[in-house]
Amino acid sequence: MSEIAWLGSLEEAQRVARERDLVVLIDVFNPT
Amino acid sequence: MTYPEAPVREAIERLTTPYQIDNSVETNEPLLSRLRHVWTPDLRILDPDGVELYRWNGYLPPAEFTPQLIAAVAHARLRRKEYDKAKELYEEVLRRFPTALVAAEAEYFVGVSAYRKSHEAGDLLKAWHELEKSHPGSEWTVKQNF
Repeated sequence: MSEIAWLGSLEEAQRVARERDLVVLIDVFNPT
Repeated sequence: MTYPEAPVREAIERLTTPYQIDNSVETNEPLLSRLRHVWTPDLRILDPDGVELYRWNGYLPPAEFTPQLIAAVAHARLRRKEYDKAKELYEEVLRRFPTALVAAEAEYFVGVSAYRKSHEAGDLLKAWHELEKSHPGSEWTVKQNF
């Protein structure tokens, strides 16, 4: 089962979103 | 878990650049503070400049998460005045997930998207009439009833 390719930083997510005309999805989670 | 499901992954990868934040990691605190984070799950849609355009809290099973995500991106596009893209995404929600929790919201805003593009009142009223028929008990029906 393939996993989502979460980006390494918010800055990277914003940069890629700008390049690809996308929006950024932030998922704040708690691991417990 | 919601994310291993194929339709969820497909929507995330097609429509967004995804970033996860673990709220138990101390070094994430400045960003969490900037986001005014208080509870998980906490999902945000931002434009490339970092402006928040949509947010929601609370677990959703895959069958509800996918339409919620698409509607969230649709709303982001609407707020960026990308009316055609917004309308297309709202229509996708209504076509693929007509009974989803977010369907009434999508019906409300598909009309807004069409109207903002065309300036034709008929485009708005047609969608809102459909909203009233399909979701009579929805808050969105209340909100369109002026």
